[in-house]
Amino acid sequence: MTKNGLRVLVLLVFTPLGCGVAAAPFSEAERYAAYVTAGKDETQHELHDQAAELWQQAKPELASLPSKERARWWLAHADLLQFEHRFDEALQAIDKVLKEQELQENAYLIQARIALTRHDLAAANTACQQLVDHAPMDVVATCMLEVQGRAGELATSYPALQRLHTRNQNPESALTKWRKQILAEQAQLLERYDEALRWLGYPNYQQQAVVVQKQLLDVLLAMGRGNEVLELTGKCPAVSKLPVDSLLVRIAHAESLQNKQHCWRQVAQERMQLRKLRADELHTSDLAYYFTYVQPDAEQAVHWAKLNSAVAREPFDRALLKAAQEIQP
Amino acid sequence: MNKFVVATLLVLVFLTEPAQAHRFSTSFLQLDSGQDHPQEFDWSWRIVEHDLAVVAPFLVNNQKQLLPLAELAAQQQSFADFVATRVSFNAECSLEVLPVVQLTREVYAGQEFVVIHGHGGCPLALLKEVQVNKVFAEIKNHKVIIEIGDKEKHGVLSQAQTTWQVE
Repeated sequence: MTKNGLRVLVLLVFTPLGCGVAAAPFSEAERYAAYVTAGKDETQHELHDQAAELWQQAKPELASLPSKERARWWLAHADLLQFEHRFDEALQAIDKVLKEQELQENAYLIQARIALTRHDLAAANTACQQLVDHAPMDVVATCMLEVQGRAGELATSYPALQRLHTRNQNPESALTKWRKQILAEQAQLLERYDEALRWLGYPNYQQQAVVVQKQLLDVLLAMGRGNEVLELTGKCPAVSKLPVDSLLVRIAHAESLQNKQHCWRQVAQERMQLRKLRADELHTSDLAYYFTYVQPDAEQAVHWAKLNSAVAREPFDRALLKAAQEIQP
Repeated sequence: MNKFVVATLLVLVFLTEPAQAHRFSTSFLQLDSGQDHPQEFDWSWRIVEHDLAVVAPFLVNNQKQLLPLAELAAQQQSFADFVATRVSFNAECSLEVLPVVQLTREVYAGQEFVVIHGHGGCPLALLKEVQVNKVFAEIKNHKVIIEIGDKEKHGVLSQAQTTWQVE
């Protein structure tokens, strides 16, 4: 979701006024959910502090709320926990949602997301199957085809997803955007890079969500088109306008391939030094990437890639660990 | 757009954005033996300008940028109180905050830092403990990297550990 999109989303949720938007006021749980969602944007992370305050106030009162409202609270809380990579706690929160027999579609989708992040394909498949009674068939099919792709059955899943896309391609639909992201991942895994770029909306870059921007840069780098990475991302930025670290290390990688300047690599080196000093055990894929592709260091690359794999085992994470292990000391 | 659509949008959009863009915040507390005053040590605390705006809003303007020197001088007492409640050393090494005009700027890792300078009232060899208070509750995911000399010793303080024992 674009940054503007997030702001619009917050306005929609916080402003229950005319223009076709629901007339009923939004509940506290929905406000919490909006804070959680909008706070994922790097520029609005402080909204998660406000979400935390709301949660602390609401938690003791949850038992007295109507079932659906309680389920909303737990669902949004699960989302926040999964965003923070606290997957076990997120799954416990999802169990609370399911116990209410409300919002099952969203709950099972989060279950599937977490299982996929952990590369637990059996659990992901089960979660997708549970959706059958609670979600439109297109959602169920998209979920199952994503799992199928992760299982390596891309020759089947990718054309099936394409057929699904042809049937339902409302460009504004969140389902369509989600499916295009999966299509891009599968095209990338099949090394059909031109198609992956198409699914990712290339050359549109600035308006994309960070997760899509990252995927775009990965595809361009896989195609050896580092010059286009530098064209998309522009000049080495002014102070305090740095892209997030996951993008920064990729741009620095592109710069090293072009060998024209050092600015991105210099900033990336400082950022990674800072990350090393902090010694956080989560979100280590950027460090692993840096020591694999930008400033190769076999020991560092494997160390951080293993830490990353202990938490996240999606295709990119597994490929990163493999690449790190292949660096010659 | 009805309420159901908004709710669906919320879920599907966040599903496409797994955890990836976390913000964290880091400041640096550098401790050095005084060059011409060995009975004291020098300390400097490098903190990102927008973090300073959170912990010491009286030092920044509406754009969350450090006040000009003339205006900073008027904040000296508040500034000294602020530092004294955030940083402390073992009892033998009292904390001394230099005048507010000692605030300087630096750019590192693409961020603009403000550097606060001061003295500790003992030789560096007698420094046994460094404590940072309140900041971790004020700034989410904040860590303070402590470095002595040319990185001869270093420690990390966080919400989970607010005191560093110098070995």
